[in-house]
Amino acid sequence: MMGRLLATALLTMLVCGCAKPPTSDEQLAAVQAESVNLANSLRGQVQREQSAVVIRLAFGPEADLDLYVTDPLLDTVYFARHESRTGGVISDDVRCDSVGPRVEEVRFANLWPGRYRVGIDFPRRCDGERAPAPAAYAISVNANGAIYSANGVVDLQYFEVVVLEFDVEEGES
Amino acid sequence: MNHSIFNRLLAAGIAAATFLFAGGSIQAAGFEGEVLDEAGVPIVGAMVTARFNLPFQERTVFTDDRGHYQLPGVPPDTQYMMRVRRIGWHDIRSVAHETPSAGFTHLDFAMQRHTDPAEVAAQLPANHWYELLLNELDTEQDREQFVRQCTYCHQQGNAATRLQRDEAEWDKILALMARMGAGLDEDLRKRIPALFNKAYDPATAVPALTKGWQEPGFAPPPSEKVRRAIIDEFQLGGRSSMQHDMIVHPSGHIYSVDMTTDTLFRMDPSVPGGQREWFSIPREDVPLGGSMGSGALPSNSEMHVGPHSLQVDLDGAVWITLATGNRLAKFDPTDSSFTIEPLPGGIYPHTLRIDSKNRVWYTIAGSNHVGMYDPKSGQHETIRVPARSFGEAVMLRMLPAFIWLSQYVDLSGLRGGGGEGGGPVPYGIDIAPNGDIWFSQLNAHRIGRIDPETFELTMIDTPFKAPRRIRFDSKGNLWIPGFSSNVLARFDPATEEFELFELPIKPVGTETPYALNVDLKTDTVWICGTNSDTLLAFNTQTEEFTVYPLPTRVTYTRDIDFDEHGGVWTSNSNVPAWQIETGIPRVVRLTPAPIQAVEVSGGQ
Repeated sequence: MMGRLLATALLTMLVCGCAKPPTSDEQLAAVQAESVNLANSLRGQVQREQSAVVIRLAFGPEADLDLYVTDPLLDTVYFARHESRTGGVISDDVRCDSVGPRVEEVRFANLWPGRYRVGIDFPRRCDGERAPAPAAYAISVNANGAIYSANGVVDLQYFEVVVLEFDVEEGES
Repeated sequence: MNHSIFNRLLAAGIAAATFLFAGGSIQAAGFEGEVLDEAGVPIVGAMVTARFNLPFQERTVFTDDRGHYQLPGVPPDTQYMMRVRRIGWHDIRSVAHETPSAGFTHLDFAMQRHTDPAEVAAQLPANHWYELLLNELDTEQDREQFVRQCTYCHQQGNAATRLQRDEAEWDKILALMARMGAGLDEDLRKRIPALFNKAYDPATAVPALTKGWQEPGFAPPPSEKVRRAIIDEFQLGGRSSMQHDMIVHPSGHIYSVDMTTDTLFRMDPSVPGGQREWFSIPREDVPLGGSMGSGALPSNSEMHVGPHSLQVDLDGAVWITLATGNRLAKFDPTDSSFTIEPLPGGIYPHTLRIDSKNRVWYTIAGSNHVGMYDPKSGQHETIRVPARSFGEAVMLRMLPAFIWLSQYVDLSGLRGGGGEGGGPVPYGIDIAPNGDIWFSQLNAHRIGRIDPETFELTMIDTPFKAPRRIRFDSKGNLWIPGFSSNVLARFDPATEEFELFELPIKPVGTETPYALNVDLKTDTVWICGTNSDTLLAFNTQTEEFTVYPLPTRVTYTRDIDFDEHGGVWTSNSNVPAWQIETGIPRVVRLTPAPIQAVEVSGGQ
């Protein structure tokens, strides 16, 4: 076990001795452009919602991203906690082998005033590679009629704890 | 003991409880009555809980062999929510009960039997369900590995973890847990999703858990001694909180560190309901996640410096390890100020103790060190603890380089690792009556001694797995909980001999004792029943255990302390907090049967 770890470590140091980032500026710009496309596609989906608060995460086929939404009571809904005490419910987990739109969604049927936090995790690449690589994402929020959005890139095995935070006022309608 | 003596002792206990609210200006009140079943038969050992205030305090007592309860010492003229709980019966919840200005409000309850065994199974503490999973593991190596790695932060077998999930979801959860430091070896990780789903299939689990559930011997009531205890729980923090450790300050205040919000709480339990204050620990320039980065933080976390453990020094100051900030903090209660002390080396300062020279000794879990800081001279020592092998020693010395490299290369395969992987992890620490420093290495299954002046090290293998948080008794014996081996160990430093006591929690082998502490007035060893919602007392003279059930489901405890009135304190620090019943952490005070306090003060 230790031999394997040592060999891996030494090999890693040799390969990466120059500490060159694996993602070039051009590649990063392309991923960021893709995040804009994802944001545009989400924007087209904004409509009059039945639920009080709806948060959507869109991402591409190259990555399995996970949406985390923490509600004003600091309770979090994500792929392993399907429903919070406040009634936040997450849609089916979209994984590498999922078919259909690559959009995860959390809905709160009833309005809870306070701050909501949106986070994104990037647990795995869909090509099976384990080298770090950024993936594009876009977030859209319809909070009782107020629209919020964000887009950008997230790194492999990195949990962006706070991608977006928004407040819902008491009595907001 | 005859009844009159018992009644006098009980009355003395109730009188003591009446004056638990120090200051004397508040006249305490209470509730009393009977808990019966639908046929009028007394229900023995039911937990009767009164909740008041916001943030709330809950006080719980047990019914006696006549079904009678008496819940003393709560504020008068106050509204209460009452709950009555006993395995096998529906919970009773009843609101808007008021105490009189003095004396007791009479309140009887009639409990209704469950008719659905699934509901009875759902009432059982997590460890009962956990046994079903452990039974699926074929080898001791798999069992030990799973227990040690997968109950670091939360119970196994509670309502949130005993779910059936599709294997892809299990796989993602296991990957997430590995990033948080709890890794299984590759073989077990592949097999465990199917084992989870098999063990927690309600079709087989419920009959197995509820065999004989309508017979009198099922879920027997606690002993008469236990039923005379009083349990208080004080809500502390919020849904994102992790009240990792707590202590009782000589002033009588309770201090607790909320690791995921970088907050120090102070509570005065002499005020009805508990008067709470909180102090933000300076983060300076430490980013979210601190030395851990934010790669695997709880999603609702605000953890930068990560306060982990705390102790009081000889001057009354509170010292805190800031685990993810790689710092120590000193809190001065006289002016509520913090002083931050950066550390010269190591990763993840963990548990600490203060020696007779007012020096701070602490384990450094991530990089396999023990640290010492002398505030008087400013001296720091970072003592490297032996690794298990040459390879591991090299790995540990390269740890800072790996952290740097991980931004360019995926090194996740090196993390955790399960089995014997994951680093040796210096964990518990305590100071012997002769001044020697002793510590445990959780994953290396060893304890060690450090000479406090020469820093010379001696390591000793434990004859059981996963020694965790250790404490000395007044006679110089070292007491050690075996986290993954279901034992309490007594170690004699003079002879270097161990004596093991199997924990009596049923089903046997399902407990994960995270920590213990020794009440030096009696040398009673108190042990965290971390996976069974219990506290255990071990009488070191009779070598008998007493098991105290706690009222809140998912009470995951990590440390214990004592107040001067005989109260035994702990905190519920299950992470994530939403798994806790009510979703919010609490600090807990168990006041054992008054007779114990009387006996102790009587010099027996």
